[in-house]
Amino acid sequence: MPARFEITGCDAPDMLGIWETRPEPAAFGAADPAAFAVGVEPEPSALIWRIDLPADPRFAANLLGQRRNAAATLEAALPAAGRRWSAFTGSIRPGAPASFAWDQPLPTPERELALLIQAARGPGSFSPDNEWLGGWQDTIEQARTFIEQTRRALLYFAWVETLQAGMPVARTQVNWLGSVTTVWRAGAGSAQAGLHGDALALALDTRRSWIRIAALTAANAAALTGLLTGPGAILAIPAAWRFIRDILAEFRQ
Amino acid sequence: MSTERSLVFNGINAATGDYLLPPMPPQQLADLIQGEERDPVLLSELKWRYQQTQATTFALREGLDPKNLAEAGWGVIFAANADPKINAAIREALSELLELRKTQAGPYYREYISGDGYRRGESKNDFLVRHGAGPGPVDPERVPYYLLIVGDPQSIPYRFQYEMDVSYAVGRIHFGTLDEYAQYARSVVLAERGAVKLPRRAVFFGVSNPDDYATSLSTQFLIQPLARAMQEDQPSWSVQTVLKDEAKKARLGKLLGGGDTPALLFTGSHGMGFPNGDARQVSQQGALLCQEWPGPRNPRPVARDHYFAGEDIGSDASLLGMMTFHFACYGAGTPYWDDFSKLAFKERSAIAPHAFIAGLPQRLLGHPKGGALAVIGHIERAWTYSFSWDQAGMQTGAFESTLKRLVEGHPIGSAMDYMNSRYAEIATVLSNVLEEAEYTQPDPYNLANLWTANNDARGYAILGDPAVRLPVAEDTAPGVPRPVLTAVPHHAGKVPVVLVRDFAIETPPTEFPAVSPAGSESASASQDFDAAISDAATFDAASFGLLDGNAVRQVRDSLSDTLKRLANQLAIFMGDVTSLEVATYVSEAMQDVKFDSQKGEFTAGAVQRALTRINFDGDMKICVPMNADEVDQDVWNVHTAMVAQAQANRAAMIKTVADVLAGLLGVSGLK
Repeated sequence: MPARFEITGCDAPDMLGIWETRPEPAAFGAADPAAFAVGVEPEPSALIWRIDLPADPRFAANLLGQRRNAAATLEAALPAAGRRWSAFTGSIRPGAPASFAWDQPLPTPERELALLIQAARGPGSFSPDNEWLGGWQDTIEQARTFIEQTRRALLYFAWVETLQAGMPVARTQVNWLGSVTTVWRAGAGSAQAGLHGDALALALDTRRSWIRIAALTAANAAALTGLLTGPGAILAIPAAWRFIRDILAEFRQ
Repeated sequence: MSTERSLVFNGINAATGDYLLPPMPPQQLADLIQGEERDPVLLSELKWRYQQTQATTFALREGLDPKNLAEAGWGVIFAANADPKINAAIREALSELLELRKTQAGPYYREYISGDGYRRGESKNDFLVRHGAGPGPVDPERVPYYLLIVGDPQSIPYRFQYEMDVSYAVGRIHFGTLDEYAQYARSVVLAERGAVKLPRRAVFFGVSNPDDYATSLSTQFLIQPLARAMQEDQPSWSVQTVLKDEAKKARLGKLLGGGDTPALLFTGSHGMGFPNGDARQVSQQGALLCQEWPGPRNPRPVARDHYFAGEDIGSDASLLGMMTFHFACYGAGTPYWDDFSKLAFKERSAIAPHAFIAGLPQRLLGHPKGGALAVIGHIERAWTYSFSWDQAGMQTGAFESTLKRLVEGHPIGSAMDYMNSRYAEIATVLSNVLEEAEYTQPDPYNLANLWTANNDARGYAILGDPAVRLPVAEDTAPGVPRPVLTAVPHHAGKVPVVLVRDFAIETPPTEFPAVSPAGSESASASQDFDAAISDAATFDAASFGLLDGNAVRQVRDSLSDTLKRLANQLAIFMGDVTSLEVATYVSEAMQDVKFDSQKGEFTAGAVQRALTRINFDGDMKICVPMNADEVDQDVWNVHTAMVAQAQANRAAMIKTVADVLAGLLGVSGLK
């Protein structure tokens, strides 16, 4: 049985690419009758992080380890995103005519950003039906959804559920200050404890990465404002968010 | 652990008036040190250097005179990746100095510029190998002994300078204008050609702030002993001390370009530190905190009147020919990465937007009326225990030897060889202790002392040409008034703060600021976050008349409000962190388990088996079933593992939020 790494109640794709997301606020355990029953739980806005692993504990641990390594790699990529942003935007003088005569092809993130700045400074105008601006609508919405999702991940309890072959192992409620309440299946051994511990760490690492991405988005967007004149300034936040998303995509390849 | 045995570190945070680092018990520091990674290549070099020291030889090849540039050689290193036009302009501004050194060093003169310059990411060995030199005594036929780095420490890192310094005599200059380069060059040339003959006078300036252990020690065990030693050893010199209540800012002003400026000034004080990205950081970090500071019992933002920075030196200052030695945190400069943070938190964190040279030495060296020839100071934090170990007593030998060589006519780079040998020796001993620690428990106090001394010794750097000497009058001559620079050709143009832009790491700062459990800092950070977001999202759609105003406003509000809500949440988090709870339940029938969100507990078939509560101050309360027989070891193991994980997660979360808020403080251009 393949492993499932799933977040329910999540509208936006996971920027790290670690988790599958399901937008519907599915009741906890509803996908699997054997999973936890629905009581007073959880709040409708809470995110539920569910990992369903194979029965073989070593195989399960290996799969979890791969995801944690991937998450760590992407977390480590964030400073690079900041540096590349600074390096590129720092090379453009505020208010100067747009001129991007590059000696060599730019990587996708920088190219997209350059095109935005070029367009924002160009003679053309933005208008609601402007085809080019329309191409940004999805990005605007995705950026907004991501930031909102990050806020929700902080605001409400995180529920982290570990299953093996569909059978619940443990379930932890983490409040946003980090206190945890866990219920374990009676008889769960050290191998199961290790799996759930790793599952919990993966969920919380992901949440922290989201926070860093949101903050980096805000910081980069503020820096970009001076380079985007006129209505182009509206795209500072989505452009900054997309830049990070594209950099992370590079690291995933 | 007794309070007096805690380690005390130099440096004052300007924003809070508190110490840059809190006093730390030796055991805590020792534990951190034992987990530190060490560079085997550098250690090998240091050990070789230490063996040389034992044999009382110096870094330069046997038989060569370090006082003679024709034998020792002289070279200049530019950043290979810098804009060639800028390098060429700097070179032109320095041409007077380069011509002089070319004449003096003859065949051992080198210019490492363009492709021969320092290439980004190079280590000392990379650089030397590329130029035909390996480890061992310096052979000027391959690479000269005296090396002047021309460039900012972001483009040519301090780490390269530290490494080169182990064997070579290395100095550095970097100025904001071409004129300053030209002025510095002219100052050195005048001194070298004998136009400057200063009276043989040295002043030792020792601050001792109230209730402040660090400056009390530095005055008692560094400044005063050095002054005494020089008085006894150098009868032809007039040696004066300016201590404690006399060591005020106005007095320092007179010693640094005012009417009382000596040939040699040695200061001991705290150096100013500022939060990463603070608008004053680049110009004022490392400024000298004077006697006016009321001490650590009055932790409040340090008043500008209490410290002496580069901008306090007026345009009419008369500095030409002097040398200064500043024992102070960041007195010479600030690196990008925080070495201590890496050790303590296992993660590199930035302490500044980019590495830089302190503003005071820059001003001293590049002064338009003629500047200081060299400034010796500390990169990063200076550590008091390096000159005063409680079991071994006062440790000023290297300082004394350096000063002795200097006043006896050695170039500053040669004089500093004692400091570099000391670094090699301490690093070697430290390395041996750490190797031994793998088998036996080391004395934490000894280990902490060695580590602090190692960092301290490594961090001393020369700003200026390493081949300059003190231009003083002959033994019996009275000296002549300082000349003033005139007719230095104007070199129009500013020089970038960071020459190699790829190195300009600006965001996100990843420092780990002190976390206040609640209150103003968080609120302030949140407001700043708001300001940053507003900057990013604000424009008046109506003024463009091209878009539908409502549609634009809607998008803008949606994005910025979402970010603001997130910012508020983060700020509240920092205020709410008070305690941590870990509860463990067990259930025979997981499908029946429910969670009562009002009470915050599992019900219906779940039995609570353990609860741990950890308060912010470290107090921990653990609840287990009353009957000890009921404690299930497996459950207990699971519970303790969850406690450890929760603590790690809490720490990581605090760090993340602190990083985020600190980063956004920088973004909004704050104070």
